[in-house]
Amino acid sequence: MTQDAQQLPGMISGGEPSATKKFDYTVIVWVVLLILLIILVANPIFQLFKESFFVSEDEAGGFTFQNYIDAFETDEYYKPMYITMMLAISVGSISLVVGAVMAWVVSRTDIPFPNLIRNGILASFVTPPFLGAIAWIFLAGQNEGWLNKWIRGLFGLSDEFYLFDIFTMKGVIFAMSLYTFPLVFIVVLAGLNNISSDVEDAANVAGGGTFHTMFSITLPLVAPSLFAGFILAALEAMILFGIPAVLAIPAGQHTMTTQLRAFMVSEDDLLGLASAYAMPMLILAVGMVWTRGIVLGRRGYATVGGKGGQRRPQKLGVWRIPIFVLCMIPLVCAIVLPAMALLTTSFMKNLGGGLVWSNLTLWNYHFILTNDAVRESIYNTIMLAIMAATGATIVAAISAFIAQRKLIRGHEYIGFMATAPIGIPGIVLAVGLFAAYTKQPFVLYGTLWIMFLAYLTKYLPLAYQTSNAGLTSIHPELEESCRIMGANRLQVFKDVTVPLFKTAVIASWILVFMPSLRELSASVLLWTTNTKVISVVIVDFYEETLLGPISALGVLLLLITLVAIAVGFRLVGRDFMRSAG
Amino acid sequence: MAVLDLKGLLKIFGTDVRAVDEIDLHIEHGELISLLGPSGCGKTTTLRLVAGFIDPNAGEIVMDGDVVSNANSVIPPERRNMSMIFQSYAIWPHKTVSQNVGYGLKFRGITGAEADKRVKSLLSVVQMDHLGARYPSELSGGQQQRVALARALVVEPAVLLLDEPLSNLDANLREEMRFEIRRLHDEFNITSIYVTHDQAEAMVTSDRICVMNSGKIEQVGKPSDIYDIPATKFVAEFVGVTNSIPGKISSPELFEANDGAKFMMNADGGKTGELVSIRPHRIHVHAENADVGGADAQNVLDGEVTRGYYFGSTVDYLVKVPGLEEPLRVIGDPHQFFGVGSKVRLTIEKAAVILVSDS
Repeated sequence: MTQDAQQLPGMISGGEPSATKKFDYTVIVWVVLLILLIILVANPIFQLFKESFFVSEDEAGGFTFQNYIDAFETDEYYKPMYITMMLAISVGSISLVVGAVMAWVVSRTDIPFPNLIRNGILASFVTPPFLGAIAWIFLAGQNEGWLNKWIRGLFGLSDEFYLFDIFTMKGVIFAMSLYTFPLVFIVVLAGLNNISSDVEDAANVAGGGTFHTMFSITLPLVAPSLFAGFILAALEAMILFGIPAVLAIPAGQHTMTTQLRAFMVSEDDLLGLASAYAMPMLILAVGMVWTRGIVLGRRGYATVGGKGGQRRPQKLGVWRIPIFVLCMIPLVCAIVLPAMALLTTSFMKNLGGGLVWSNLTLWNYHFILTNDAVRESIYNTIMLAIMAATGATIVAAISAFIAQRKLIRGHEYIGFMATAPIGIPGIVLAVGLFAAYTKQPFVLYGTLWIMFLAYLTKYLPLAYQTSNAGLTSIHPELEESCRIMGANRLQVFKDVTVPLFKTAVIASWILVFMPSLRELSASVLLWTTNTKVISVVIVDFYEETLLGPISALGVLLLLITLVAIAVGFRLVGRDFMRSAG
Repeated sequence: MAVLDLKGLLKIFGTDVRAVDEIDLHIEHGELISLLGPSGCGKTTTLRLVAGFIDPNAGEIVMDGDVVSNANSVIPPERRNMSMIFQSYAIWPHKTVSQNVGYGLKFRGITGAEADKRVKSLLSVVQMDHLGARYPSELSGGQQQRVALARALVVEPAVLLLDEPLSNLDANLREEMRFEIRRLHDEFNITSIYVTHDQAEAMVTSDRICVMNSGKIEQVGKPSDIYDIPATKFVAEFVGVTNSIPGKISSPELFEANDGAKFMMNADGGKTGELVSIRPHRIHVHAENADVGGADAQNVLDGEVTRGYYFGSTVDYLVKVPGLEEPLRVIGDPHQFFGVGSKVRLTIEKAAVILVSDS
């Protein structure tokens, strides 16, 4: 011990104890948070309710139930609800079976290349579903679909014959399932990985065979994850707009989302009717998300979340390769085939012309890069994605920090508020935002801001959960040890908190940026001529059957997404996609 | 180096949880004192009060004559020139070993070559000099602990605080690190407070032990005093194994158990208590009717073995003695083993019978 330690500047020997009366930020933080919540959630939902009880045509008309009567009385509007429910249940069930089986195979067996399957799942997760649906038209259209042509050629069948027809309800269910089963996979895999195989070994020792053990032990233990996975997949099928817009409308069918859009773009002012029509979707969706939370939140399963022991993979034996091939089929259908179809189509003059030199062109790319409207939409898309990612990340990081560090009174409610928008379907949110911000004094309709609000609301829960998970892993003692070594609060923040929190913040940014690039269900109601985004342009072009430029735009969209993922891997490491589940 | 005084220190959590209940404690220059007690006894809260992480509701902490904490003002942790070793080690995962150790020096105006020199010298003291460039995730638990020690010592703090520093280590390493902490203390001689719930850790490392229970101090003393002359039933039972026998004093040198057995003890002027504590290894076992010498110099009791576990170096007996409600726990010599049901004669020196209070 030397003498100078006692004479250090700023140490206690130098001065009197200073009062450390801390300023109480409680009121300021709560006011800011409440204003945000009102703008993003409360006001739009309130306006949605209000509109649903007024006849739109006539401002003086006052309170009425007419909208609800109109919405649920006629068969024309009733049928989309029935179709939507049917879709949700079918897609949920198919996704449950495919996702759960694949999760079990990856978690519990000696399947070759489990990481290939895992990464393939993540890749299908980030593929825009409407692009997948369009690609499947190229692959499985009745006459021109490549798969049908290939089979005809293979067996010498007539032009009348077709095996696949994507423009059917079966086609819609198929396409939706391709992009919803990853949800089940991720949830069930997490559930399975938390169960120690000691539990299963114990059942084996007690005399249960592999399959008996699976059904009597493993299955009941992952039941909450299975249920949660089903709910997620069914919910996604219910609120998807892109796939039904691409595949069901040409087949003469509406789902609730496409019907909602039909109301909103109608010549007549049907905002009241649309609002009433959106109610069952809103209530169902929020109810499903809450149910899932309750089921997953129940901690009656002691071994789930306990210290997972070493997992002993089941031997698949001769089935190893066949099961691997089976597992690759959904991935090939979800990513490889659509990506190939889009890529080839984007370089073709004529869709039916085949892959011959005379049919190749760069015109599609030239078109999308020179057309002013398309160029503006690319700019808008990237702008909006950057704004939404930055906005959501800032709000999420600050509120997660306040909540975790218990900085203000009532901190335990912040998490609830930040995740409040979870479950509100994008298209319903868009109707609410439209109702709220098209009239004085807050006219945001026609600007990018209203879409920014939609994206921000939609992705805030995701950003919050990512930030929160990141902060949970920073032990408070890491900050305290910094204080006691001589750093003040600001230096602690700079030297310890920020570097450790950075990873989660970057992950959250990219996790919002990626889905914002391809957001469709809210954008499709909120765009105006000056505020088109890529996804809206694609749907527009689709209605004008401009399939070549669509493919080129699709390839561009996938490229931007790939770059975002690559940057994410580089900055954060390969785990950053985990919290997407 | 520093002298610390805790005076009437009170910390209330919520409305009525008195986590630290008006304690007084004086800690000398260069002394290593441990706060020993079960979880929830207030030992960690006391440590965090000394560090300045929490504010007291009443009382004060005085360091070398300066008040560093009282109910109105608290000097923040970074201005106390203290170091702390945390239960989780709290090694910063984004900094290398050398960066971790050197971090505190910049706040003390030590940079460049001088800082490097000090970091190197401290790393060699904890035998980590070859691992300076590593990141914490590449280190074992014991190595992280050594980094935490080096980081705390390199700044030559006035006071070193240790919050259950060994509780995350496995048993072998824990034993080794106990001696290491004591060795480092002897080398640097920094006033230290060591929080632990492990009595062996406290015994090995400390100059004095402060036993805490329910926010209050039960007893402060040298390890041997705490063990040999516990003041309360709580201390006697928490520190080591003992036989607690309830009863009352019938004369200054005689204690009468509730069920009638009598124990002679050394008179300890005016000390009162409702129990006596007798350590199992201070009771000697002899064969039935053995000639054990004068019964006026020591306690002689006859009983029957109801349990005898052979441990190689010792035998752990329970002996049922008439006049005592509970059988006596006795640690005996394995060379003379008495089976269950054997009649035995027990002798206990007067000095081994310690009067303790119940509270």
